[in-house]
Amino acid sequence: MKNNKLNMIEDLFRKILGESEVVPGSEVSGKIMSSLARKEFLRFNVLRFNVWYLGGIAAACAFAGIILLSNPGPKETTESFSGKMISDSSAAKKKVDTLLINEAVTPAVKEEKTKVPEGKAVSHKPSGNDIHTKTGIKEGSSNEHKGNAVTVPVISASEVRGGESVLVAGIKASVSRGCVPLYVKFTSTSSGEVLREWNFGDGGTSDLENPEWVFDVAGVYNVTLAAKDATGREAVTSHEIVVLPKPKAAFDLLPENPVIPADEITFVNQSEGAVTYKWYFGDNSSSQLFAPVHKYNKHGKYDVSLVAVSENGCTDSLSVQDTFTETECYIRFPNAFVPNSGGPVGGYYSKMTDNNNMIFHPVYSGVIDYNLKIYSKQGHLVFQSDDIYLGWDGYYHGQLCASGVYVWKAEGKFRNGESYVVSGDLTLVNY
Amino acid sequence: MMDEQNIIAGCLRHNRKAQQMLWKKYSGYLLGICLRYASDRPEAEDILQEAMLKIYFNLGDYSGTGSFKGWLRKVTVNCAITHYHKNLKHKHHMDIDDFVSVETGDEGFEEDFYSAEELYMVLNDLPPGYRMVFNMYTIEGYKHREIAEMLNIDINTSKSQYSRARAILRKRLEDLRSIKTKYACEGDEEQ
Repeated sequence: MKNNKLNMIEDLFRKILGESEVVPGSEVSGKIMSSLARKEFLRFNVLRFNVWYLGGIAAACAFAGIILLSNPGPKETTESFSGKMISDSSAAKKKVDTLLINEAVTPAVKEEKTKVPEGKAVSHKPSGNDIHTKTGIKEGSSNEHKGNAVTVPVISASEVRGGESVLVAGIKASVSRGCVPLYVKFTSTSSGEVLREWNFGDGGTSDLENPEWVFDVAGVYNVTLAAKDATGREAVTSHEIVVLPKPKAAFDLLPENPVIPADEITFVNQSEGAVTYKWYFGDNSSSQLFAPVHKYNKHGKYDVSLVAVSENGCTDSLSVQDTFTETECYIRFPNAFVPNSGGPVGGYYSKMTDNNNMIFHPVYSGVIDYNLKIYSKQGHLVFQSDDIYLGWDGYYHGQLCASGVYVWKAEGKFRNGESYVVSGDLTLVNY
Repeated sequence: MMDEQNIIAGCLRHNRKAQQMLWKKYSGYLLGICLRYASDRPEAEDILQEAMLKIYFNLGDYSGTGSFKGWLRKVTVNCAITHYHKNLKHKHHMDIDDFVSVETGDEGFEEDFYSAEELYMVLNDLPPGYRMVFNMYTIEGYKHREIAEMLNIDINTSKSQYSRARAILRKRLEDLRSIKTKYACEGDEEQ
């Protein structure tokens, strides 16, 4: 007797409070969501802006700042020239007079008669030579006039009298430094050669006089030109081409399939190798944030572009046309089905398992909210489901329903924010 | 609406939308649990907050087998226990009345007579230790041995606290019934 009553207390609590729900106030929701956001911010997550990204940006900015302060930046259109000259030399007693104009190491050629080759070298230089190059030549000529013999090799008269022309190999490049893919027009400023062998340093070669080459991998390339004359002599010169890496612009959306204009869209920046960014949202607004959040004012088609700029000034851009257009939203129902006569099969279906059409269910796309009700002709609700994965197997309380016509109504919401209400009838076929 | 699987998968990816769905779908149920373990609503909400954060960040521990709701309940109850331990030093005092009010009534309790609010109220007024034991034994279905382990008390303490809690509750419910009946009758007379 006593036990009964005591148990009743427990039953009372178990029944009433066991599954009871108490809706928390909105300020509690807000509090918990904000502390969740705080914790999420402190945790590393690839997809979300958080403290690690913040730190990364700060570090990148600091790094970029240092780079910018110490280096005025690349000159993409620098023209340069490097040349090497070998004077007349017969095999045994050759003396080499080298004119390394770029490096100005050994400005050359002493004797009066050697003015000829030097004059040649100068005449080959195009007007676009940079100042450094010219300085090198001037030093060369001034040395010559002073007769400063210390650093300058002298060519013997006999060699000059050898009477043959001077062989010079020289390279002129349209660009020496630039972003990948770097297109470079090479010009040979050599003289006296009959054969040329270009080696571009990335495995490519050419025998043209003025080849064009595209470097499509970042790196430093030593381009060499070997000039040969008819007697088999060879002069080699080289020129350095710096190909800078390009950043990669990439972004993602959060949420993945936003509803325009209802959703605030976070543009998740997945670019690599870039330090500054420029976003164009397609509605005449733009942003320079790393991962901006944007809200559109009205539904429409928008093309979103992202331009990513690396610390070298190289850029890459990604433009997504019609960024928010999603696949079509639809829901369609069949008008007949044949339930399993051997017993209820549940109602969960998949395209793979319902080959026999035993479950009444829609085909659909973009459905986010769903409710299906099926009534008999007498108006009894025989089935309802809030779960789009759950269709009707034709059973009601474990009993197979009679053949005949039933009426259904489905309502809900598509991902694009539109609601749908559709209804129709279906024939239950029961053999 | 997202279903349970999607919500779990989304929360595992720390998807904000899924986290909000999880909150929407289960916060009522979980606050219902917290409220049983708390002295008042603010305390229940504190426990809920701790529990939710645990759930969001430890969702990977959910094995996928067994009911998700059951897992949520377990995490929440554990949070309530932690919370109880944390606040033990502030709450160990109790009214002497609570000890002596062991008397037996002579009637059972009709299920329809009491509302959930009233039962929460009665529970909230219990001394915290009694409330923990009563909840865990009656509603969560733990054994006294398990309760003793989880609350770090003696198994006999668990048993005696339980029977005292039961007695206090019975008395409160009877009081409540007599008050309600009285008011109901007065109401009848007025009509």
